Amino acid sequence: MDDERNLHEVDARVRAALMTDAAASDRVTARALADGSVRAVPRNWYAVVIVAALIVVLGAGVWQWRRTTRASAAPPSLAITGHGSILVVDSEDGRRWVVGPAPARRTGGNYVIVIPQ
Amino acid sequence: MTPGLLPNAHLGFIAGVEVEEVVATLAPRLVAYVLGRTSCRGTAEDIAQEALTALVRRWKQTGPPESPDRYAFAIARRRAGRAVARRALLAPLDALRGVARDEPGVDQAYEDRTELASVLSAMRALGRADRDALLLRVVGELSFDEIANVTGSSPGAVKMRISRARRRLVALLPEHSNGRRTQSA
Repeated sequence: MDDERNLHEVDARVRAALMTDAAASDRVTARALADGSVRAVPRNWYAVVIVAALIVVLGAGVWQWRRTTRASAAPPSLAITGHGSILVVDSEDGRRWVVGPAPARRTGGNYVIVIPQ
Repeated sequence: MTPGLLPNAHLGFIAGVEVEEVVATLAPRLVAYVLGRTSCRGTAEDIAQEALTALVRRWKQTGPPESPDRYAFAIARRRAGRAVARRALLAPLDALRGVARDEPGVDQAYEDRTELASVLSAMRALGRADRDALLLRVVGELSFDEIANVTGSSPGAVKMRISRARRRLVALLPEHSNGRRTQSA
């Protein structure tokens, strides 16, 4: 019985100690009602802003990526050296072309005479 | 209520009167609850106001929640937890910067002698979950089911926590008679 009374007394003491004064409650109530009445930015707007920001970031990324790939797809530079009438073209990737005058056209030997026996 | 007669009730035209009453009823309980959690009156008022603002907005946008008490206390509980964690995180930095007081001032010394200080001190000795359940019951005036819902436990566990917290408080709180408290041990 005494124990029960003690427990209830504890409740009352906690309540009495923590309960705030009426002025503070009124202040909190008034501010909450005033702030709550102001139209808050709807959540949808946040979603729109986030999606727009994502699109901009993605667009910038794609643009940057395309720019780098285009740069890497550019033809390699060539080094051209001349040896007499022959030109040697060296590519960066190791390929080499030799450009010179066409070989002299050989005459004869282009046909065969067949004699029946 | 026939929906045809009051078609705009859910938009707040009718509920506008009710929300003020509900907010006025909830405000002191929320402040007391957060004060018990954070031991700081300023923080308690701020958090109570934020929770009530959220409740008012929700009420005006989509109608009243199923349980306004549960809704507001759930928000206040989350924010109080964050405030306590933030303070615990910043306490060492404040101490390094010399922000923390070395010795209590006159106001603090006076407050330390008050009943509030002794109750808060006893509450701090309780486990976090026990203290939370007790505060929600005693000053929040929520039912066991609502407390269970807010704290994410079962009503039975809530009852057990509250009972344990009460018994512990009886032992922790100094005796109090004729408005003056005396040390019991």
